[in-house]
Amino acid sequence: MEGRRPSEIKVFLFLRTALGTGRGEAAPSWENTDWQEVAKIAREQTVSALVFAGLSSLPCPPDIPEDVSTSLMLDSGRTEHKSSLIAAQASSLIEKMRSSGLSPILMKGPAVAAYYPEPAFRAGGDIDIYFREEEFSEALKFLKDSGFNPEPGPDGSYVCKASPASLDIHPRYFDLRPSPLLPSPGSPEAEILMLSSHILKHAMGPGVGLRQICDMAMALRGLEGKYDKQGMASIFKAAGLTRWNRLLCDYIRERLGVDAGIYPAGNRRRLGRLDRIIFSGGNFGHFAKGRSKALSDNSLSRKTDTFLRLLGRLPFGLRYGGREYLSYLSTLAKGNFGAEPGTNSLR
Amino acid sequence: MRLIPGCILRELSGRHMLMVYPEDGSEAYALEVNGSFAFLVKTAKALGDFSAEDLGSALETEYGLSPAEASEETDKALAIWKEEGLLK
Repeated sequence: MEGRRPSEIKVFLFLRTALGTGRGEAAPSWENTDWQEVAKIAREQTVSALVFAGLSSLPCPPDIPEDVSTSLMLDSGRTEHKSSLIAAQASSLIEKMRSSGLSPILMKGPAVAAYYPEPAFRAGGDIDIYFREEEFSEALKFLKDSGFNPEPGPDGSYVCKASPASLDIHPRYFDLRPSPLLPSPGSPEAEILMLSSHILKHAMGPGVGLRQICDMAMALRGLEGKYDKQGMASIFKAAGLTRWNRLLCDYIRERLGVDAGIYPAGNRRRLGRLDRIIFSGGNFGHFAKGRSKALSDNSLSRKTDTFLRLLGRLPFGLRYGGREYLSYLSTLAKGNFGAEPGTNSLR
Repeated sequence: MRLIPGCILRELSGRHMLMVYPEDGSEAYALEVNGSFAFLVKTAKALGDFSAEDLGSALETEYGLSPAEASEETDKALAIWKEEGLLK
């Protein structure tokens, strides 16, 4: 794995072991392993539970410093506990919504966790739910009648504070410019495109982490046989995202051992472009230099920081996102600095 | 305080850790259980109303100890907690 630090290489090994995508590779030498760095990477990428699972599944687990093993066990316990609560919360809410005649589509988080060998080891965040335009108002009314307080976001979505996870209610399924060529939400093709475009959106902005890459890998494996590979390539092409998805598929094949079979293998040297984004900022770029301070500052400071980071991704964005990148730049500027509701944003 | 539904056991590098997430939402605890079953409170915060009996019950259910073993180990735990000034 060219250009990667030994700790990063080991994290990928543990992830492949945890995800069941290992290649039967020989165990590396554990000598001189910087276990503190392994734990730090796992934490910043929000994959501590998966790293723990991979480590503990190795045929000959290495000796690990006590503070690192404590940290991994505690992180994985917290993750399992919280993820289980979120899964139950999401399941209960979706059932109530369907009983009320609504047709919610669960996105990302709890939905993609189902593709993991151990769903509870996938760190949970918010609960994202999509509704078609024609029933969006009814969905908001249901939430209000149920005691939630939906608050509008800058991109047309609504956020409801809840526990253990907040609810994000979305009128748009894809992080893409609207197009009649996009597949219907809820189909396997749509789910793959949604996850791919979500990763791209964040990679072109403040950043994206390994958790989202693992999500994509698990979705591709879980949906194997349920979608047509050539059809998927055509959908990516129609969305103007062939180059991006070639990179993403190559990355997942090389780093996580999942070959979606949508494209033939490409140039491995390009993978460093995505590595740099992932390892410079961690989960959604939260660990990038200066990002934490910006997120805790006032709204204008946060939005300015996001916009500047988006500008910093210009070469990557133009190469892999093209028109989507320019669209993000434009609508982010209008939506966050022009105070127009219903426009796109990178929070 | 009920412990059983919120107990998670972990094992790594020969060490065992019991994590407890109380159903009432009160603060979670973590206890290390070493190979000889002598309990050392490594990361637990204030014990509050977390009792040795609660621990014994969790150890029977989650760690597979017999009632006699669990009782013996909770006595050891009490002794250690007294020594470390953790009992209120």
